Amino acid sequence: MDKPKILVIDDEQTVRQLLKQTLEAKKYDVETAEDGKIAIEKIKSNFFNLLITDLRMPKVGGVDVVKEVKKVNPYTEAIVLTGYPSISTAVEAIKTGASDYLCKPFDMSEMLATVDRCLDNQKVNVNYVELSELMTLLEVSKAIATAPDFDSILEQILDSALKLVKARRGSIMLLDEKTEELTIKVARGLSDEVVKNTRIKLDQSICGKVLKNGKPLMVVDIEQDRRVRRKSRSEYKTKSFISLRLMIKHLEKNALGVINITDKVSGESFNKREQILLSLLAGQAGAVVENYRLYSQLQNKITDLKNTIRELNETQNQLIQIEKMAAVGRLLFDIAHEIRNPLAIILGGVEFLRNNMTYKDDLISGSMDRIINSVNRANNIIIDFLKFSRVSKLDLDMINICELMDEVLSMIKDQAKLKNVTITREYFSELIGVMADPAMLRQVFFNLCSNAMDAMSAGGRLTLRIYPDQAGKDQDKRVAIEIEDTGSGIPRDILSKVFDPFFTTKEPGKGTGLGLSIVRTILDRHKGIIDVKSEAGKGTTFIMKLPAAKATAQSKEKMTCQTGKEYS
Amino acid sequence: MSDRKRILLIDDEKDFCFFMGRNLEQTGEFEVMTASQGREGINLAREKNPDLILLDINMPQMSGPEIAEILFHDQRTKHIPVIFLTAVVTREEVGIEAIKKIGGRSFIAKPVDTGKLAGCIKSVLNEKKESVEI
Ligand SMILES: Nc1ncnc2c1ncn2[C@@H]1O[C@H](COP(=O)(O)OP(=O)(O)OP(=O)(O)O)[C@@H](O)[C@H]1O
Ligand SMILES: [Mg+2]
Repeated sequence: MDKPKILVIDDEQTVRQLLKQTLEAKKYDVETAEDGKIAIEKIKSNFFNLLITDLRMPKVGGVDVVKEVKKVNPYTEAIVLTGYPSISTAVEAIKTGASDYLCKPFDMSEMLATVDRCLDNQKVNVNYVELSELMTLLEVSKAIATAPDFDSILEQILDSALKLVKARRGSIMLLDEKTEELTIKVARGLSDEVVKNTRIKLDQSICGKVLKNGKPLMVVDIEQDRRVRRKSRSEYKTKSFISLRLMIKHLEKNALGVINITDKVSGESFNKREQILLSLLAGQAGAVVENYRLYSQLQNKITDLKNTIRELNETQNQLIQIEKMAAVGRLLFDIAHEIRNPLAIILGGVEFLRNNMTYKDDLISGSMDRIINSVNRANNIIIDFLKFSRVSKLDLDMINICELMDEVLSMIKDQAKLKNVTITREYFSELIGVMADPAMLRQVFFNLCSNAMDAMSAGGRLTLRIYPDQAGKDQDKRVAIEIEDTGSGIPRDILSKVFDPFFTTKEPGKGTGLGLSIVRTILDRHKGIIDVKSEAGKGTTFIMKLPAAKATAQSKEKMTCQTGKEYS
Repeated sequence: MSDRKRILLIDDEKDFCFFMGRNLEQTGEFEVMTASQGREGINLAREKNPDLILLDINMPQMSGPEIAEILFHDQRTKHIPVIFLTAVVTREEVGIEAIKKIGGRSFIAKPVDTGKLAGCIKSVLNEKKESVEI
């Protein structure tokens, strides 16, 4: 920063000169004005950090000068000098916007202290904080707010603090409430050893005091400062330092500590202004972290809520999916039945009419053709529907049968939970390939799992096994898939019929009796086989075998045995 | 007229029975009796010993496959070929193997025109052993 500029206004030349000399000696840039009018002109053309003005002057008085300067630059500080010390003049001076007043004749050391204080005041005025400093303060808020974890927040605060006051060394120490000790959490410019070994008792140190009373501590010159014990002065290895309390609430963590900054790049001591800047930073950091905490709490809540909603949706979708698949089947069944029967009657009826026409009439027989065309059209629509929903064209692809099974499991897992059915996967490996139509195979697994679930109305265990079938030469290796339930089982006398189309033991509307017949058809088309073992009252196992994809046999060695893994 | 094949049509859709029965008869090749439910159909089959039975799969009370099963286990009717009719599925879906399992010789999806149905009946009657696909 440039030297602070001060304008001294007094009609007495001796006062002007005395102040000019003294202040210039203190590295201030000083101008003088002998009356208010000249002063106001100077104010308009120059920026001053501080005015020192006599209150009583001929023509334009000190109050008017202060008023004027506040209009031009509200951040310019003013000290008013008055020869008539009284409450009224003091009040008058302060009212005009002056920061302080001194009585003539003044004590020069008092004057210098007041000047210092005023200039400090001015600089901490946030509006006057230099742009770069403002940026740092803003940046730290942003950086802290987006820091991924607590430690990075601390690092951000420390780095920003060092940047703000152009210092090289610093640390953030946090209080361990149990041991009442301060330990270094993050540090810059300190050896790892120091960081690791520094433990400061709360009641023994300067830092402890800062922490307790919350007042920032600035040591300008360690040799001169009585607060620092003579003995420990050398330990600080610095002349000047600032220590501030830091209060950070992060998530459920309440951290209390201090931030220590030392070693200015310029080698100078810290000043009041820097202390205040750091206080601002520390305060802001705390606030930001607190906001961040609230924000992330909110964020967590929102995420929780989103997850819950998503889970609900998934569950619902799965239920809908299950319902849908069952319902679509039933619906198509019903639609087909309800529509194709009347279509059959219409077709038969038209043919009957044609056969029984007593005379030849082109118009009538043409109309009959059109009716028949419409019947066929309607029928084709239904056939398309049926094809679309059930066994359509085979679309072979290399698929991971384990993944496909898991997809089906995820569709039934909520239903399983409701029914108190435990699902166990016993996959020989997580990757077993077959050439198949995924949609069709999914249908197979789904139909079988649905049947198993239906059979376990009182809960039970659904076990899925996928493993390479040991029998057979390498080129016609097969993959075995078992779906086992602990349900009602299938009585011996109907076991041979379960694959028959339309065979069902379920009440009307519940089952179409097509599930297993579709399963068999699909397996046939994949050159696979299916078998069933069942014992009434104990449970049922459906065993399928599908030709293995070549890759499976090759990667056999890589497969690891995984058993008894519970599916959730 | 004694060379006309005697067909038993069992379908709960009475109008279908009426029209299809007449249409088949009017081809001059068949003599058709109809029944609109299982019991009646089984009794007719036993009494009249038809050459072939057209059997609807989806019927209330007794389904086509159930009727077929009874007929198959009855000495008087087990030799009678059965063609299933259904409005519910397409033929690709069920597959001829499945139809054989439930005692059918062939399978016809409704709606069906008289010509096609007559053709199917004739094929089944001609090739006694082989099941017929249309
Ligand atoms: N895991 C099983 N446990 C006990 N019985 C079973 C099992 N799987 C099938 N069944 C029996 O086989 C019959 C036929 O099953 P299929 O899947 O073909 O038809 P469905 O389940 O009755 O009806 P849907 O067409 O809706 O599947 C069932 O009604 C049931 O009696
Ligand atoms: Mg089923």
